[in-house]
Amino acid sequence: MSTPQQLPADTAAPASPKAGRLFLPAGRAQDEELRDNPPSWLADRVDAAFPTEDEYRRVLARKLRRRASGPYTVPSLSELRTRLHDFLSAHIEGDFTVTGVRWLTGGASKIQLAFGLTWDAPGQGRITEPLVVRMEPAESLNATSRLREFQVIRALHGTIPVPVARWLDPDGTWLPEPAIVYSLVRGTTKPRGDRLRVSGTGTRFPASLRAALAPQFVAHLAALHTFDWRGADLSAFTVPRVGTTESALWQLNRVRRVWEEDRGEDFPLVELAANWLEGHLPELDVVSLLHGDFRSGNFMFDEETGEITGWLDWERGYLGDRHRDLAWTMLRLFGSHDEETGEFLVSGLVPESRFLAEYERLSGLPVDRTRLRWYRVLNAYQMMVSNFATGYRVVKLGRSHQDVLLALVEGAVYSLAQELLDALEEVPHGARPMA
Amino acid sequence: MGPDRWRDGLQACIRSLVTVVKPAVDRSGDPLASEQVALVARYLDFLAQRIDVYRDRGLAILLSYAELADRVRDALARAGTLPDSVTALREAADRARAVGADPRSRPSEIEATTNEVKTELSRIVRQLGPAETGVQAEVAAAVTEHATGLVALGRAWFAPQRWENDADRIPRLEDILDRNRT
Repeated sequence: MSTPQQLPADTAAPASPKAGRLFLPAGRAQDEELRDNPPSWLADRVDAAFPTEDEYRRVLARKLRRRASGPYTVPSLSELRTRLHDFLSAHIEGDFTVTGVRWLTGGASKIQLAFGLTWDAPGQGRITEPLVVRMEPAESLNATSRLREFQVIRALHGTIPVPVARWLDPDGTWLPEPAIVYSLVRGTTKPRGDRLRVSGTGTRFPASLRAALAPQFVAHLAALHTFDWRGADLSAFTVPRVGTTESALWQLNRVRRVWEEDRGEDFPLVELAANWLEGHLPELDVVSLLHGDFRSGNFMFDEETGEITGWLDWERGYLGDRHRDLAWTMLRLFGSHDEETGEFLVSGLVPESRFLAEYERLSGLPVDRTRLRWYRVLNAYQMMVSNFATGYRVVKLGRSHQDVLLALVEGAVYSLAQELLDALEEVPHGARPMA
Repeated sequence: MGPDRWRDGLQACIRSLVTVVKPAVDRSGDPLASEQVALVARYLDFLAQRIDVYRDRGLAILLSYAELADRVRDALARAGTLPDSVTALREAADRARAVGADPRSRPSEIEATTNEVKTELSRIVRQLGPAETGVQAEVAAAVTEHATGLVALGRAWFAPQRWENDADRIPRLEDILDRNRT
């Protein structure tokens, strides 16, 4: 039996613990101080205890380094317009004009701004195109990499519908925080008349739209997972070895690290889930490029034609096990029920059995139920950690532009905990017993 | 000022946001501000619905963790392992019951005491690691069983936020809290 690190959080750095066993208590005043104003040793200790992908190590260390800088103030449109002009001047040869700078909504984590750009695009001549700035706040529900998001969108151009990734400010050199600029995708994320739900959860599509969208939805996922990523520039991604458990362990460790860095109180069920995941790490059979948040709410579509016009929010993408995307897409939080049959619809679009059968047929990749279960547990665990730990810390310190939304997402924690319990006990989706 | 007037005040805030502030913000053409006004109103509405039973919920959680601490302590004691944790759990559960039995206990005190028990339990679960035999299995079963009740309470508590499509399958908060009172 290994021993966790039990340290008084307000004193010196603890000795290096055995991987995975570092335990920093939560809830007392000194525990809060540790996480609100992280000492320099904290990033080193969690990094050593929970090794994960290099780019995530960089992004998470940056998050802790900057945490004590105080509450976030959303930049004014005027300031952003000026900064954007400077950024574009550094990246565009020749004259250009920026018009119509305005805020966009959507999503719980990143700031989005739309504008029109008239410029001489390479190979296209003088054009005016609608673009989007996607920029981090000081801290968000997910600490992710703009470099990775930029690379994956570029890599997938021509494979499935994605925006055209134009420019990248990876470290916030020109803009106030790291950002990417890409083309504005036309369409909507949810049908007209769908009642207000937070962050695209539980979208209800009418049957006619489901019939149009579902085949594309599954086909795009199959195309993504069979995409030949080896020829693409994905230098910010770490490639896991097939036949090992390292891909699964990196994902688990990233979440365990975030739990140590962010939480405001302990939760024994979360610890139990981490133990189970550690004890059942699956081996990787095929390395696929993953979206990381593949679900309704993250694609735009044309409501008249039913065409999916673009996949957005690639910030959680990585190279790893396709079952992670499959299980994520199947999370109950993102689904809804058929209004006539009551059947559970994956992402509000397609019954689970058809979703998996079509995926296997189109991708030629098998769906392994054991791996699917492991990733179902991981996904519920990860979302609990985001909503319960990171959401709490960001709201408490006032670190994002969406604090009020993050305060609300705490409410999803117990629905996710139910999903976690069901996955641990192997209760099928849509067959949850009454509590 | 009593909770009844708080509720009235909160409802006035919500009405103001929905009927006065939001239309004005909508006209400004700032979609982020429009979205956030609606979210603020929604959060306040949730608060107004739950303010009466906030302490009851805290007590129910506190006492449930005290029971879990007893189960885990017994499992560890039977296995003859982690003697320091056995003592820590006994002390934490005793404090929890004392705070729970005191009608003057404030919600913040209830919460802090609950956190102490949760930290001890979490430390133990982390320490036991992923093995699934013997005392590890016994502790895992206790934590899972406890979580089933805790999660039902949490889902019921947040039901007004409508995170779940099959909301009719969520148990009623009043029923859960009534069971805890008896």
